[in-house]
Amino acid sequence: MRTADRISAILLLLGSVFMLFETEHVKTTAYQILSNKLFPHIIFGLVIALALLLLVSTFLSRATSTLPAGYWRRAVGGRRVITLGLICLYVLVMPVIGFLPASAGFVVVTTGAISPKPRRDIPIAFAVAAGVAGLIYLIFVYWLQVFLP
Amino acid sequence: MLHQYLVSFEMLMTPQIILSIAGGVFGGLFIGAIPGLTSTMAIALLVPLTFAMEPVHGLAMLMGVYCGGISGGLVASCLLNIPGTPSSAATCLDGFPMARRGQAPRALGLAVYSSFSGGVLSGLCLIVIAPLLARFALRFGPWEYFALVIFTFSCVSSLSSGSTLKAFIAAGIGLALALVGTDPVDGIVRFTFGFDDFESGFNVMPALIGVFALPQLFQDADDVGKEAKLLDVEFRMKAFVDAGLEVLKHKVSLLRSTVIGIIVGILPGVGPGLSNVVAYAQEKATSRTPEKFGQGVLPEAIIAPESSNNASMGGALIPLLTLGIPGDASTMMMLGTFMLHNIQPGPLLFRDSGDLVYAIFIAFFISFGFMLLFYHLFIRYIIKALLVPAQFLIPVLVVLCAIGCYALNNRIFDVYCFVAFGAFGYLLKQFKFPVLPLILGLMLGHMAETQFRLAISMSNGSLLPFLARPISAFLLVASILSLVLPYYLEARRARRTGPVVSVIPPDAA
Repeated sequence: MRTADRISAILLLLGSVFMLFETEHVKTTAYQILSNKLFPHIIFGLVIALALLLLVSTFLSRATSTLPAGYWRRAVGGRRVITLGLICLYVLVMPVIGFLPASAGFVVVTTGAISPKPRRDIPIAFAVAAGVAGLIYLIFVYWLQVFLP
Repeated sequence: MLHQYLVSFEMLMTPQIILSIAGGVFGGLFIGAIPGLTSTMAIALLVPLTFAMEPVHGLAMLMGVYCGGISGGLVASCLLNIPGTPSSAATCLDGFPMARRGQAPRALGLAVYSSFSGGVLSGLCLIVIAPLLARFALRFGPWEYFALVIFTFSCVSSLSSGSTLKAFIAAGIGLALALVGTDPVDGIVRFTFGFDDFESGFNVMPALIGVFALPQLFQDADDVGKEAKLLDVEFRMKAFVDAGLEVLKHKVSLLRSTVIGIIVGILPGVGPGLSNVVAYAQEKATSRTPEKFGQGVLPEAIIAPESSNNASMGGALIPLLTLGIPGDASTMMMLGTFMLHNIQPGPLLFRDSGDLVYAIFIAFFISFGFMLLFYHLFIRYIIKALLVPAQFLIPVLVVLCAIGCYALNNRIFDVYCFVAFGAFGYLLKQFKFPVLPLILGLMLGHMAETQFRLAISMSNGSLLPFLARPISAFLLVASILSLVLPYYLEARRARRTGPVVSVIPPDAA
């Protein structure tokens, strides 16, 4: 976990320092008693200080990693990444082909991708997708009058 | 006050609102029963239905969802040995062994009646304490509000699972994200990097739904294909109802656990997820037969966790309604819904919209009534909900979350935020950063900035009033104590008795 902590601390430091400089681009108004940059300065300064503390603690701590074996492989592998990838694809495609077709397609494709028995589940997924699309149409388009993309 | 209650009661007594509360409880029970889906998810999925409703209608329904979501977890705990929600984690310890001994209806009955009793008692506490605290909070100025925010952050950080330092960093990131968009005091646009969509800042609801729902769904994706080993239950209604009388025989356990639940619920950052474990541990510590815990023979071992987790609901609503400070993820979601309906919880809510507040109180009790009724009528079907295959559930839940986020403002940007916050929340979880402080920072960021700048302006740039005003000073001292005290007590206990193995599961807080 120490390496992960070091990476996260360094990323946080870089991000916060960048944002601290970015604060200088915030416009100010002439009439205010207190600068509107003060609060952002405090927040980014605080994050920098805490990230530094985390970084230092990774060098001082003697505790060994308590993560279970294969933790990172599981975190970035298999069905989790497939699901995340398909969700990203779904929201990117949504404005292009429309919400309902994108949603129905997403349900079918994701079920097929994560199911242990896709041949058995995909026909059911088509029925589920049709049901979900119908339900969304009834509730959101018909009842709540939401304009779907 | 009685008059106001009568007016609020009349407001609620329309077929539409009663049906909505019933529907909310029903939906919450089914969603909460499915392992991995929490009351937060239940609220997230059903919030969009309230968009077209009047505030009193929508909030009454959400009370039902909240009640159903928390109570729904007990079924999976008793029959699958998997907590349906973190709030039922300790129920597994004795609920499942009791069910395995062929007493599943008794285990479920004990859990259901304890949930009902704990919830109703905490509701009574809510209607007594909340108006008093709201009246007291009318004395708060910007110094006290800012100190309250600091107190909330320190409580959440010290009580969150994992490292306190990481919890503070997560809170800092949340506060930083809240800076994006229009300055709440001057109206100046900042940190938008040229993107027009950033001008209104990050909407809290997509962030909340993303951070709490998506990481859970990613983890659930790993479990696809694993068969749930549901106990073969022969359901007997008589044994289920008799368990209600058994709960009444254990008044001391019930009351003790309810008080624990209310106190834990009031504390920011923890809620039913922790209270059930604390109540179970306390019950075991005070028992004459602690060796029988975990064997499924003691009713109080089920009464304690189930009454306390529902009691936390009433407790968590106290700071939410009186101060606008959410206690846990579910109340954060509730706060988001209040904001959606342009309602700002706080002491002024009691003064200006008392009828709405009292309607929420009444809806709270009605929800528990429906919860008890539905468990009697539909428990066989709720048990079936445990077996819904995850490969169908995950994509459907993602789609429902996405439509919920989109329908907030009819903006695709909110859907992007939902996915971005979900991915970010997952990353934070993998790096062992708690996500609750992140969302709290995002939610309370504007309040913190506004109150801080107002306080400094009113005191001509001096920080002294933060320490000179008694309530503010008390809250700041309490903030420091909440950070220091756990370490001090742990060190003292370790010196006396050696290292202690925690009974609290890592995800409880």
